[in-house]
Amino acid sequence: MLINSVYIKEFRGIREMRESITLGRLNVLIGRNNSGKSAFLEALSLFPIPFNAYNAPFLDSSRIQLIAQLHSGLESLVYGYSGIAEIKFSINHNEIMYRITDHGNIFAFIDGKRLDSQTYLKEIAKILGVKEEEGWLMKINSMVAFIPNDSNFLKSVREKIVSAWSTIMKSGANVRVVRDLISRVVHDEFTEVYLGANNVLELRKELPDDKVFWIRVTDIGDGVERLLISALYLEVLRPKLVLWDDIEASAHPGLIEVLIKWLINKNWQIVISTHSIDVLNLLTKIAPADTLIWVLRCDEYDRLNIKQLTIDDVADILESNIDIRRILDQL
Amino acid sequence: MILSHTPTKREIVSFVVFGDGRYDFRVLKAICEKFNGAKELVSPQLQGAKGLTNSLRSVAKLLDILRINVEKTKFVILIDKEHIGDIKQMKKKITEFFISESIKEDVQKQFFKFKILRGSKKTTLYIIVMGYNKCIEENISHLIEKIYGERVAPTRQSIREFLRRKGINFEDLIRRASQKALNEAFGNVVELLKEIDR
Repeated sequence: MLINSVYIKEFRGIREMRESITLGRLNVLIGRNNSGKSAFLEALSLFPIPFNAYNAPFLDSSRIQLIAQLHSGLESLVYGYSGIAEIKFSINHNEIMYRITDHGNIFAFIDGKRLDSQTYLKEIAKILGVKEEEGWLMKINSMVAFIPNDSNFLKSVREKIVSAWSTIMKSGANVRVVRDLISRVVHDEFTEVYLGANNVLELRKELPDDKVFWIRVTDIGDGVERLLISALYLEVLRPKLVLWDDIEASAHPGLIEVLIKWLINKNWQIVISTHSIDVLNLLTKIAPADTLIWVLRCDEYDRLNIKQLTIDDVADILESNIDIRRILDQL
Repeated sequence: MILSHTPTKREIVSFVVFGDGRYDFRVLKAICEKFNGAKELVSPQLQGAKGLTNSLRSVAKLLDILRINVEKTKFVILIDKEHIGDIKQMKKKITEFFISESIKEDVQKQFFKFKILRGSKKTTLYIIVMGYNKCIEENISHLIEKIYGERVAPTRQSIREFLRRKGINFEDLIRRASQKALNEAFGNVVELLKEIDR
């Protein structure tokens, strides 16, 4: 696991967490709208390279700029739009802390010691077990992949996928993703995704009479397109931690099932947020090891209360015919 | 009064578990709207519970997991008579989940109130039985007769056809009912809501 525990203070809508939480391998955040799920994921997404000078992997903006773009600018990263936000992670017995000002300046600390960005990167590489050799920064940077529920983000990733198409082809991700995901959620016989004329991503479709069509990815429906782009993104990065906000967005329950199973089979730490009863039902059926369900609830003082449930707890509630999403504030 | 699936307030007055499903939810919701006040009843079920045992199980699980003060919260099971059997059987099933004490039994109205205890949690449980012989359609049919003077077979299909002919839905039917007609057709529900509203 990449991140052991996390604590957030004065970040976005979270005034403070009542206490730090210790993550499992698969973590599912549930809560009402505006309960802090996205903010929690965004806080995690700053790790391991939060500085403005370094772009997030596969994107043209830094991790902090990405969050600012999702909201109303850099000041929206700090609770109440002024002051300093604080995020602490525990990783391999080290405490990593970021302090973020309302102007978007970031100060990094390791075990209580403030470090300049260069020293921080060298130290974090040691903590993460990455040697300072060719591509080491990219290696560190790719360790955390964040997929927000945002169409502009997907558009940016799609453009980057196009520009890095040879790498994707060489890795075989264009075939794997279609074989392991897309062909399992649609009735069509798709075999691979390919970069066609005018840099348009196309899916190769085989008909029973041996005819072959190339269907533009943008024409196959939002849910499948989102799945395809996100999965290619993850296949290219091969991260250690996947953060996925509103994982069920635009997805049929069948698609969610395939996606969740695919994610679980990867050797990644995962934190997802969901409002979907299908996701919870599925997880109780599969019951992956080391899965924790986190119920997020912001109180009237904007303090984030997080209650931990196990898969068995959730299974008991669902089997008692109670829709857990309806009573999150009362748990 | 308000009946919803998701609480809109931090303080919840009552939780309702339906022994059947959406149909009963719509009827209770419409009757609630005839009562003034902003008190909230919440039905957090995934679907109808299909029977008394499953309904009691839902109440028991709610009691186990809720961190709110359940002593001030009331729990209601609204269920068709066909699922109940006799009163003795009903009480026996309750004891499978709770230690219980009967507070009020109105067999005529089919209104039952219990003090129940589960672990350290104490609360009030109402069991409101719908239908005179079988199900809630009998109450609706009775209400139609009170309002329109017309006898409609107590089946979902006949009631749907009647409402379609009149160009109204369940909610309209209940909205049009006088207090007297409601008292006659849904006396136990009216009594329940009055108790909750106190």
